Amino acid sequence: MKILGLSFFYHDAAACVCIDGVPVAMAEEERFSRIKHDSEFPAQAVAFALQQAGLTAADLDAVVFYEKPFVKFDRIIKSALATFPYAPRAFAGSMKLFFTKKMWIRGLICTQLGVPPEKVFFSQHHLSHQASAFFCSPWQEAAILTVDAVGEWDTTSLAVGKGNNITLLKALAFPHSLGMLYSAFTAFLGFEVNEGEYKVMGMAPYGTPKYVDRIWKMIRRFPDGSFELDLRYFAFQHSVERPYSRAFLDLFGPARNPASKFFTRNTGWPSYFGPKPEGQEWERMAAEQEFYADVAASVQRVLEELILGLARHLAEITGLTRVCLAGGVALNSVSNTRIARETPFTEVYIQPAAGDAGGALGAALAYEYFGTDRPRTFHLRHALYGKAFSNEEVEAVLQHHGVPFTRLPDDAALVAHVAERIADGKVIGWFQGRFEWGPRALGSRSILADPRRAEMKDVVNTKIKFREPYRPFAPSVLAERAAEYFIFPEAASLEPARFMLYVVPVRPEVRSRIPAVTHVDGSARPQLVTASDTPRYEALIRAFEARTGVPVVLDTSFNLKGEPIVTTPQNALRTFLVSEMDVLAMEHCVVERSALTATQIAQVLQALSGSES
Amino acid sequence: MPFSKLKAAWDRFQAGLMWFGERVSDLLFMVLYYTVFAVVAIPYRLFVRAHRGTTSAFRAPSPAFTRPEFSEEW
Repeated sequence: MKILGLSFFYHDAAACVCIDGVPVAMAEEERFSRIKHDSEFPAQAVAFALQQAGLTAADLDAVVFYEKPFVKFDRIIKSALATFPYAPRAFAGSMKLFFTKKMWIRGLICTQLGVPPEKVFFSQHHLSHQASAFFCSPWQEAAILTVDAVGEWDTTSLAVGKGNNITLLKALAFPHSLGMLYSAFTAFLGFEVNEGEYKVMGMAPYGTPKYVDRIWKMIRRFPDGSFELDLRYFAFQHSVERPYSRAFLDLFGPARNPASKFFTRNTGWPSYFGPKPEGQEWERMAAEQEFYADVAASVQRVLEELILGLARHLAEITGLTRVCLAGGVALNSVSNTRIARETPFTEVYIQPAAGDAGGALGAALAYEYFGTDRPRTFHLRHALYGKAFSNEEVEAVLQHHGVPFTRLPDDAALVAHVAERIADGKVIGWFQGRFEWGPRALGSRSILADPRRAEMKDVVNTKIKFREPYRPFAPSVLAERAAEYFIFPEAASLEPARFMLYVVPVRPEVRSRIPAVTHVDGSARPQLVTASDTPRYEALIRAFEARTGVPVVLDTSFNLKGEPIVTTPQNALRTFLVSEMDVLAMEHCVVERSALTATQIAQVLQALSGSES
Repeated sequence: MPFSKLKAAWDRFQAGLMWFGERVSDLLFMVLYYTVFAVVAIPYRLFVRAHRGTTSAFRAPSPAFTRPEFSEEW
């Protein structure tokens, strides 16, 4: 069957085309619209996916939306009842959104795609998550744990997958939500909800979990791993302004100012913060930021304990040793590793777009397989399902803008040249092949640097990406050499590490060899790279290893702070010119910043601001 | 009634609701909120409290999702 899966109208709209149970093309809308976390109908992602698959909308057997809109409406109404009289504005806003947009999914899809209504189907939010993980895993039987903010009603589900079927065993319902708990703290710590959760995870290692007991006051735990939030501390059920309540602030004090600079006594005051405050003022600022780091560490610890409780219960009721994880919380790489280390589950599978974007994939696969006896052989081993650009297309863009470049003859020349430049301490924009599915750059749209140089972390954070200086960078490592550098959970397979979804300790004896990718607590979030899945990227790391003896490169997403990862050569060229990257390698075309004058850069940027797509 | 007439009626109803949703003021939604909800909220909350678990927060497993349910929006 030819199936289009869709997710939209919450966050991270996405489209996925599957043919006979195998994804052919999938992408988030933000990559095309250039609006971070774009939630609107993914018209451009759909157009790309259909074109990549060689289909038109008329060829589709089914279009499957990832959740049930009317059930969600039921939740909105009942939540308004449950929080009466505190939610008049939230209620009015939700009603207007539902009456104008969210109720009419079938009609919208029919209008946008020109498909008849009988071809439009609806999965369930957590079934889509479950299917996105289980039907992409290499296993015929596995437990499934999905944890996110909220779907229709469910926030957490425990299920089991066997063959082509998924059976829901237990679920937690809104408002008792791990995602909402973490989001409340994300907002309290001065970050944007649904965007800053990574930052909380990155900030946590700078603190100690001193406030775990205070957070447990907000949660009622049961022996079976289930839990309820004490709703006195939260406002997400009825407030459009902030997700935590006055009682929350009474417990933790004022929220962190989003504009404040993060540092601790251990990190010191980085020079790029400007003039250092003196004496007591410096002490006061450091103590304040350390408090928030301790809060981040505490909520991260509580999240991990709650997930471990759920996972242990799931293992107990299923008796299985393999688990598939999905939902936004499955992007919390620290808790993923603890599941592999500290529960009866020895093997974990997570597909790279574990959040709501992955619902598009799950909806399509659920419709394909659910309740049928079609043989299932697909295993999602890499994330390269986005759009690619040829050498000719890249050349045309560079020539159009008068950017001097060198076209190298083949992959071997490309990786040799780029590996040499990384070893020389240069920062590279690496734009190769199809872009990645999911929020992580995995060697197709990446910024690469030398992990041996400690200063690279600050250089890339502050001069290239213009983001918070405390945030860590991930290493990409040759899979067969990974165990020399990192301590992985003992497992037959390390599936999540393909997609940077495990945080593991760096071996103490090699930490000084790769300081730029070793976080403050000695951990890292490595990506295992193999020639079979990403051959050009693997060849690059191998070439770097040949020069330096280190089979690791620093990898971060090819974007600026607050922007989606680059999609087109135009996006990449603009990001390269705005930042201070040294080299841009797009397919076989290499641009050196040193070959460009300041006037040329300004002219190209001006031209791009009008023409970039 | 022929199907086309039913569909046209449904489309008009849908268009009417969308018109309402787009143009009606927040005030009208708040009137709805403070009148109807004020009456229903307390019985609803008592109902929810009566069904609250004491040993587990997991809700009872729902019937298995079946293939025909893919057709429905609820």
